[in-house]
Amino acid sequence: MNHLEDKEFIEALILQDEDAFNRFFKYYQPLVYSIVHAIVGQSSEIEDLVQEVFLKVLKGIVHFRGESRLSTWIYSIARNHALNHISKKSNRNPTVDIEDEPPIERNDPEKELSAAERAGIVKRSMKKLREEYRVALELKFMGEFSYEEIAEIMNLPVGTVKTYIHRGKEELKESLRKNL
Amino acid sequence: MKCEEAEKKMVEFVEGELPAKESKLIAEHISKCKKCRESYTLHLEVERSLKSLRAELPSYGKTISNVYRALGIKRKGIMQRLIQSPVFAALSIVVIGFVAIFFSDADIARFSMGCADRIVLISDSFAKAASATIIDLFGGKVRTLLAVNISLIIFFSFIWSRAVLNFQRHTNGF
Repeated sequence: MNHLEDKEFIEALILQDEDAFNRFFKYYQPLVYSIVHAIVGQSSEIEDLVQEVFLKVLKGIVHFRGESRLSTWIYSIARNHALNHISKKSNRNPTVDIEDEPPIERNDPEKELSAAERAGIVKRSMKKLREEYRVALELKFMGEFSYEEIAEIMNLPVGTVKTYIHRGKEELKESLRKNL
Repeated sequence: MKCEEAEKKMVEFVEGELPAKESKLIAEHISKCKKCRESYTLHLEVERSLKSLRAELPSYGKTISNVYRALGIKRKGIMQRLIQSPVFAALSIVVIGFVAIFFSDADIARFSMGCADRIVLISDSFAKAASATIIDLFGGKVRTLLAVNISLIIFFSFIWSRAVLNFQRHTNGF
């Protein structure tokens, strides 16, 4: 990841160098997508939001002074953009609670749930987790970042990231247990 | 091992991050305790579901295309990329050099046109002088000549890439 923080690399991005763009998107698209997905949840607007985050990042990169890591800077832009989107959305439709989910329908309560149904429960239960847990879990599993990388992105100690992920998994397990 | 202790370390056990000794103790406990076995199964289920999140990530190529379109940037074609590559520039120089050396030994009488004669004569004398100087300088050592050629390629590649970057610096910008 270090070479993606270099001044030369950032300069190449400013100059719209295609190879730099490719490397940039290959590394940061999973990061931005994971963060937006963690905050907004499954939505048809995710692709547009991710694109808007990248436009903000690329337009603002000229002003990036390197005071924080590039990944941390991108994380804060993605997080704020996703939170603004939710806030605007709830202002437009104040009666709709985005956290509200219909209960899981089961035709036959005696019948065991399929693996896909269980996965569905886990993914839906993620919305009830604390934002930090969700973001850490999505970065780990959707973005496939290491604990160390997540710690750098979220600007937290590695131990805190581990705790978030462990607690998130514990809560998901409890949620799954209740729904079985 | 007690259930409480096993439950505390279950996440790390499922992740495979526990030392072998502790892993073995938990595995033994799970095989005997029904409650912990159920918990272990649930943890595995959560782990499997989380791993399936990766499949929801779209290809980054699609995001690049969208961003390029939004910024109004046209992606370079293969020919444009090739021509703008510094290696292409350096290789062109080397090829021109070799062609010049090749014609320096050609029979100029074969070229009947005056213009061609002049070009061949110029390149012939230039190439002869250049090759003679290089051979004199390096005593005809092939390895040294090869090293000089590689150095020239690197040098021209560097000059070309800096020239392209400087050109872009003055013409582009978000």
